[in-house]
Amino acid sequence: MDLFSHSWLPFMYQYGFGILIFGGGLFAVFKAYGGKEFWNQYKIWIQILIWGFIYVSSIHLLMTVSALNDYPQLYLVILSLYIFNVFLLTRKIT
Amino acid sequence: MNTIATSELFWVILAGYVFFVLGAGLFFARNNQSTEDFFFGGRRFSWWLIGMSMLATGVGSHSFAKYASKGFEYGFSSTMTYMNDWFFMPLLLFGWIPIIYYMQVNSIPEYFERRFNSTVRNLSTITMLLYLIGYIGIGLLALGSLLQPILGWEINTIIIVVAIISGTYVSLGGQTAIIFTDFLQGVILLFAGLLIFGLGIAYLGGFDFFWSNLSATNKLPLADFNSPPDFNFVGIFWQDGVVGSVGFAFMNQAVIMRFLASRSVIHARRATMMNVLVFLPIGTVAVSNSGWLARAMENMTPGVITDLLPNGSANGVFTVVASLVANSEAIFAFLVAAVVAALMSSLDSQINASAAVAVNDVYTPLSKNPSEKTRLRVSMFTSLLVTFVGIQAAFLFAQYGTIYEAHGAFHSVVTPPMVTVIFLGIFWQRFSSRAAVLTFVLGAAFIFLGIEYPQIFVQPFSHGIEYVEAKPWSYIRALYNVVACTSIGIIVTLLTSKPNQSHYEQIKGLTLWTIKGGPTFFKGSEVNENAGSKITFAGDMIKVVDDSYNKIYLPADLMKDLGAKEGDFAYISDTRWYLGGIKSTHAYIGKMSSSNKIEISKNVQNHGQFDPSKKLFIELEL
Repeated sequence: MDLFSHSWLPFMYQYGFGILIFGGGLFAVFKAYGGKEFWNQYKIWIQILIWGFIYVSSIHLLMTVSALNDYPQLYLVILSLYIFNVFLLTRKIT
Repeated sequence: MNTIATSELFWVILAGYVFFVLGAGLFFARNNQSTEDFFFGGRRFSWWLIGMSMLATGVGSHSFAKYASKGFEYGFSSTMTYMNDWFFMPLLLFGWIPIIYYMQVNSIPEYFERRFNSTVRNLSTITMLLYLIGYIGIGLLALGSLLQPILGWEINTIIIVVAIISGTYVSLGGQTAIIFTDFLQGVILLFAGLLIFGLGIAYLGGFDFFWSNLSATNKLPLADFNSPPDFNFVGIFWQDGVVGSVGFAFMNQAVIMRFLASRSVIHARRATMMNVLVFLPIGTVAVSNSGWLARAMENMTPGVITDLLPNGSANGVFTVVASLVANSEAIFAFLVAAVVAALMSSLDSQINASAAVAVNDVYTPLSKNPSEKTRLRVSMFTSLLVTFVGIQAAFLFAQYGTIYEAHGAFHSVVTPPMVTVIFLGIFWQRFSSRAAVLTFVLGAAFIFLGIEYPQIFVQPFSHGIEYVEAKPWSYIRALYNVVACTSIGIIVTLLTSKPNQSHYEQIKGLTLWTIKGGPTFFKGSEVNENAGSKITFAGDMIKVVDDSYNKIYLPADLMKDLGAKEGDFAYISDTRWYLGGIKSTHAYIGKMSSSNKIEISKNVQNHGQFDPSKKLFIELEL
């Protein structure tokens, strides 16, 4: 059964538009707050923003691979990612 | 109709739980003194309290019915739009939140009046009330659907009973009651959601049985690209993932009020971030897993779930699964109670938000300087009124089939004009009042044309989704609606002359390009370079002085330690973090105190409710 239209096609569509919306937003904020000044003042927030994008897309990626290959063990990787994420957000953002 | 058998114990636990949660909220709300307290909880709460209460507002409402039913039909992809919110975070955290917080925008219509003019405000008030009342209707319908398998009553009767309880509670409690109830609810909701998953896995005989009884398509996180018409990826991406997410974060008055109830912009940002990255993923599993479990059970033993669903509707799948997997009546009662209270905690936010819009944007502009007491009374009365209208909306949605589709259709029609005007208003300084008015008016006309003639207007956006006569392109029409509204906004702006310089001066702080100076606008003078410094002291150092200002007067040494100057803006709070800010307030630094005591105005003490036997701190904020 061809599952491309049920897996990678929606994934590419979602993150294709996602990167446009997210990247466009980040670029606009950078410009509005004055580029380097924004980076200096909000470095950790920017890093968390980018991390958040990688984190959510990774969850969908791993879930897709897991379903297509019947490999539930990948959910342990998702769980580890989540725990790392909690640790990162509670420790790094003050 | 089949009903799930219950004994008195079930009802005692259910009623006891609901009364406990609502009573706890009312206890914290007993100090409401003004509409500021009633609607914004005094703007003082910590990120963790706000974040968790945002989760309960977003997840609690219709989600248990909506996502569990689609989980049952399609599997893991039922919750595919839960993870889309992050795409909008840069604009939300650094654009919208600072704008509404620093410019003290109390409602979206108020923003529109300041950014554009009163006509845009009036148009947005109508849209906003429609949006919020629609949310209330969906919430009531969802709760009715979940309780129906147990009660066996007519759904309309359940809706009326629930509405009366929720409306009364919000009318008395206001925002503080909501924040505390929602926090409690958020924690219990996550716990209950994970508990049912654990019990369900055990019921099925282990994770391997759960996994092996789901097909590959059940396990994929995203739906099929463009089929079937009632649940396809591309339509739902635009309707729920884009329009729904933006609508919820940028124009839902209940969420805006959470941002405004935060103690600072940093706390509002942190609450939002934690909500999306930490709380929501668990919330996603919590609301949907009963549907996934039901699918695995049904695949294992056909008919085990469908035979128990009232009228064959999947909306009540949560209750059916809970009754099967709970190994005692007490646990079943707890699971149902958690969901009932979760739904009520969502309803209360929307009712309170609707009342805020009705009072701020309808009553206050029409009346002549109403007293604070009158406004508070009107707020309470309006809460009851919007609940009544919400009941009518619920009756209307009940005719639509599934809650998922009803909510989707409602979102894709009501939200686009408002979302478009907010976005263009924030990000394009040239976007004019005339363009905003026409985006609403012509946008509504094009949306209507799309409904009447879908094969002409919506078809080019259909992405190959099959046309269904009864509900033509109910999700993907959101994309058409957004494109129509955005095109109108852009074309009208480009065809009209550029606004003059005074226009740009007038909207300073109300767009992304000028919000960098937000803290200065908020404070009214330059931000102190020592902002962020903090001093801790014993509560008995406080002396309450009888003046009507919102000020604190520090002795010379503490003024120096804090690096503060007269006119600075500070946050004063009890040091116990777990209070979440209930004993705290903001105040301006006044002249130096002549005694060695920290003098605070009566007003500051009334809001902060400081205990002299406990330690306090002052943080210089701006």
